[in-house]
Amino acid sequence: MKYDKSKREFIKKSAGMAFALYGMSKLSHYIIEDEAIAETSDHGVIIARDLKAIDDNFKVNYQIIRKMLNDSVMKLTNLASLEKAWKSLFRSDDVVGIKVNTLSGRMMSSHTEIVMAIVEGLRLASVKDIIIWDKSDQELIEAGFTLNRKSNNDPRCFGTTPDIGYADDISMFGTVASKLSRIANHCTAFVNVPVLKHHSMAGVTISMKNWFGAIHNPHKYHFDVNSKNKMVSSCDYIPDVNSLLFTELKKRQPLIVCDGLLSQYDKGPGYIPTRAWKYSGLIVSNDPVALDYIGTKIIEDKRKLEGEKSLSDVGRNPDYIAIASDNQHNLGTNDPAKIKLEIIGNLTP
Amino acid sequence: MDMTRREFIKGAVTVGACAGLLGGGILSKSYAEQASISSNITAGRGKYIFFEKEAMFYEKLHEKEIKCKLCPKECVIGDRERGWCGVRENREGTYYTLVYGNPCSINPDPIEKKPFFHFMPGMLAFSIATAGCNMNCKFCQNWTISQSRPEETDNYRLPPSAVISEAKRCECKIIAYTYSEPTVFYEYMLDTAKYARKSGIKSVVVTAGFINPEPLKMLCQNVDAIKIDLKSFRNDYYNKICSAELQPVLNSLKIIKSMGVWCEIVYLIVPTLNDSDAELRDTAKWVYENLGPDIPLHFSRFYQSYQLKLPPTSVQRLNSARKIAMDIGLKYVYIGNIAGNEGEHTYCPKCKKEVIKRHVYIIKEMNVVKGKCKFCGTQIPGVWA
Repeated sequence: MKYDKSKREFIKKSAGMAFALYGMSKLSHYIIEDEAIAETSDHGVIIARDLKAIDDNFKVNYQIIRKMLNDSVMKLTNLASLEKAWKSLFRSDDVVGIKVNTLSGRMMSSHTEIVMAIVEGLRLASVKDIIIWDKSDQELIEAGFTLNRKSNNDPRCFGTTPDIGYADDISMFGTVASKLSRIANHCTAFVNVPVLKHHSMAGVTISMKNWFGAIHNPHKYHFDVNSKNKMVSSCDYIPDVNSLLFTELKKRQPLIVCDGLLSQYDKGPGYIPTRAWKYSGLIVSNDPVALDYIGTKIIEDKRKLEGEKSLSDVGRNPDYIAIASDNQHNLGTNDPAKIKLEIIGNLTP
Repeated sequence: MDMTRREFIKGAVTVGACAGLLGGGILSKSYAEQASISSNITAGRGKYIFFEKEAMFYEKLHEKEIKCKLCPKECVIGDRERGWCGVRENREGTYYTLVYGNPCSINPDPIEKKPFFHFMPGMLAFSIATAGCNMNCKFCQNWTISQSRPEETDNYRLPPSAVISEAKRCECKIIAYTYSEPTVFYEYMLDTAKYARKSGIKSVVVTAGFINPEPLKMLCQNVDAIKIDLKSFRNDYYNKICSAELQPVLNSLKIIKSMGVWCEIVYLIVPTLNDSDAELRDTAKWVYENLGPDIPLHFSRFYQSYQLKLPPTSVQRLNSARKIAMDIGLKYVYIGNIAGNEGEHTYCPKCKKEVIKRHVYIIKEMNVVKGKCKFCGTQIPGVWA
């Protein structure tokens, strides 16, 4: 049976199956013959690290990256078969948007090698229509991506360029009113590929903040105009943008692959070499709140190690992560007791 | 007689056509249509940023951060980020304006449309705007450009010198910086105004006045009139509805007055949000005490737009607002966005006769001669030639 049910039927059936499978699996997977889609998150966060993933010249080892990613996806889905693991996340008829983060040039943007490994995984799930995208063509090029607008066998790759643009009308959720990129509107599911880094206004920019690249007016949401000291770090803006996409507009984000090969613990989001370090890791999850919570811990630990004040002490604690977990947003959990963290990989030099 | 919105629009279209006849056909066609006949400036029109120029009024901080000092928001911006306005960008610690010479809206408009009622009445103003705004009014009529970044709007390649030549070609003796928020295209506006003055063309600014004192003072030295949209007399309204603050706007009004630049004020009355007698009285009282009785105050009718879904302001409320302001002592109080109302006209404060009779944007009678009432000789404040 191919996936051709309405969302309501899908959820209904999913709930039934989840009940039936309760106790058999930790993940709420819904299996329709050969296609299985993880509809809910088990708050799993996988950190895959390997010191050989990126060398001293910042050259990325693709084979290692691919293994890190695939091992993480199998851990996340709790499936031993790589193919089944990817198929549990994406449908073959999905239009999958790989949302990269290319704001900060070649060094501090989503690595192309990670995206290549994701594309391989999506192919295992028989996904044909893949779009690698971000705000602009120029930033994609500067980050090392090759633009491709043709619908051939390769994934398409382009930004929300002026000829593509944003929706004609605004969509609203909570404090935000924005026009959504037509690319985001077109996609049915996303792989979110943020970079693990500090943000001078948001505290950190990891998975949830990356969606500012999908709206036409992110510049309006960097601080609360009613209080100059209240930055986006403690506002509803970031959770609201995510809820706009994933609650209001019902988009799916089955996989987040945070690029932590080269990370930045201070003075982000622009690349500052003296504040960057090789974390040599990927953080993989389908719970954006849990992932951002763990990512923040990593950045905080590094700040402490480097003698920097904590984000709280500099007035940039990313409170938005907790806001995202509240009843109004319900985007995931920031409760460490509920987050199922696993660390895998090779940290020997 | 008051008119419905439909009648108003119908009237405005008719007036536009009439004004077109009066103005050599300018208003009967869009600017783009006009320009394509005699100029090739539209040929390269598109969603491009044609020029990038280092911004004025910013401070370089450490490690590539900058602090913008153009408006009271004073955004601190990291490398590769933009300010709240969306049109000024930090690149490697240097701040750039992305809208210099890149207007997205160009139109010759009657000066009354801005509205200026005491500034060269009946003249056409060559009106330009770029993308972007440093506020976010939930009722914005022009939100599709004001809340967009310049790469999302269809832009013309029109540097200041070209603005002057196009204004001359359209027989406009005024350039108006308007529609969105000219504060955010400050450098473009300032350079154009300097060119314009040398060419004998006047400059008028239509702004919310949410700008820092230093840039405002420099602007005042180079322009001829400023219209301020005073959104409310309550800071809470500024915060919640406009994403801004009241006090800087009041400061701007005082600066403009002290610099001797002609100023008019518009107050859009939004039902239930800024329309109480107390607030209208406070507004008029402040204007009277700080700016004097001669400054024109326009109460404008609200129509639903953008994020604010409310009914139009009642005519009764507009009329009573006008009465409140006149009772305080303001001499020139107008009603806008509604045709056929007695608040459209200018009355001599002494003999009470109609010295300028208007219908929508058209002057039907002009009884101000050399700045004085034709009937009794009373001086009518304004810029008349």
